[in-house]
Amino acid sequence: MEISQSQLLKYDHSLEHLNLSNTGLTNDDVVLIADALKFDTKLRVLSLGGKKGRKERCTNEIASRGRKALSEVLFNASSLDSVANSNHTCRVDIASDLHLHTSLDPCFHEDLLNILNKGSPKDNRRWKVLSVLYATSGLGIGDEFETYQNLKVIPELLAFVTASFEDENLPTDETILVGDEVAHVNLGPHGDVLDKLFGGLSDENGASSASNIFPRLSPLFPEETEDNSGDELSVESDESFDSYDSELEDLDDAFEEEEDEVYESFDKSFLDPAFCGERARLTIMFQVVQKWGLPLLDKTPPLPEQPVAAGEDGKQKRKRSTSWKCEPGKKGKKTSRMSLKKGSKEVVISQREIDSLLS
Amino acid sequence: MKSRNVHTLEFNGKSGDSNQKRITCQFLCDILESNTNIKRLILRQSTRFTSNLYKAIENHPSLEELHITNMGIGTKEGLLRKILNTSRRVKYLNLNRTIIVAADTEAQGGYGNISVSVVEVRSLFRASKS
Repeated sequence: MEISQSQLLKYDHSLEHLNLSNTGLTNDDVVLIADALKFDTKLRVLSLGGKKGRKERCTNEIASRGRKALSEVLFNASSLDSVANSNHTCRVDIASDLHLHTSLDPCFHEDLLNILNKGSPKDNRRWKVLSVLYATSGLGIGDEFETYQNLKVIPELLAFVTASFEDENLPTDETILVGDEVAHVNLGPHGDVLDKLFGGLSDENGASSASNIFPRLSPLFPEETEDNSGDELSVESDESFDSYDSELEDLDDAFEEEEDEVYESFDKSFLDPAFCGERARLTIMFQVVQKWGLPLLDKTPPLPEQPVAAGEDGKQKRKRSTSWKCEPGKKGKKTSRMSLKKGSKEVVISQREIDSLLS
Repeated sequence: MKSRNVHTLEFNGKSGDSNQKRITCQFLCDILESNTNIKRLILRQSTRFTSNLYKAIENHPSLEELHITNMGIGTKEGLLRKILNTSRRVKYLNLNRTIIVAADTEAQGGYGNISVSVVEVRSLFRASKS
């Protein structure tokens, strides 16, 4: 049947469920359907099942070519962009004896097609992005993010990391938290990528802001609790960073040891509707911070130990071990330099250095 | 046909006299026309799918679910497409075990030679591109 392209384009529909089970579909048919699904955001369930043994004429004969076409529409893992642009709306029910072949095999479950797009579109997209990051141990973001190595992204990430260290006792007139400072950084073209990753959060000016993106991720570190017991001086501690490092090491080991308990637990978390838990969040931070964030810490030699200031009551105030500081730049510029202080170690990065790193 | 507050209309057809099925189909059309509250239409097994029935479905103001199962339906005039194009309310379409028969095959007498056309199906999804 000949139907012109213009005719095809004018159709509108409200279909949310389409059951084409046992309708004698072939690979060619499924390829056509898959092609149509690229642009569809309304259909939520597509049933293509069909068991052999019934009437022969009704069995859907969908072989690898058809399945591949479907999988590429639902989860094209060739790049992060393609993952983000996949169909996150439609769940395809297909016979369980049919297997999916993706470019990421064998990292993925064979019946992945049957578990894709089970949640909301936003969660589905996030699930896929995290899966790629996870399955490729960060390599998935390598080539693509080379073009996005804008350090403006890193402060956002680190702002998120340090957000949980906010201390009300610190003088806010001298210290501007990076989270606040970069809250309205316009990421330009890079914002598009972050938007795709984190759910289309651009404001009306096209700017992606840390305050929009990272509040969705809960603090990586647990809140530090005040230790008021006794008169002993509280000592600065890198406990939180140690904890963070420990988590990273755990994950790192898990990536290498597939049988590792953490790996299994992490793997299960992808099948869990509540996959956006701490571990998943930690993973994406792990992938990104490991790639760009940590080398920054070794950029300058450590400064001498700073004495701990004593309070009026003679007790030494508990001082956070890590702080971010942004010094306002010239008029019209938001930031001239940033510093990260971790215990006795302080790293100062000027805008010039940032620019040079970028170049 | 007296109007009733019916939400689901289900009809299980069976093979047999074509004329009888045609009469039955007309009966279905009348029910659809006089009952505007029907939201779910279930047609199973060898219901005669005439153009009148297509029109009744197409013009129905409330239908949200269409179950056309275990049948052969023709695409002679793109009727299925018309239904789904004009009846924007249809959210659930179940074509399980229903063969969409191309016009020429239908003209040759039934769907002994199966020729599936998914052009109709594919066309359902095109709108969101524009």
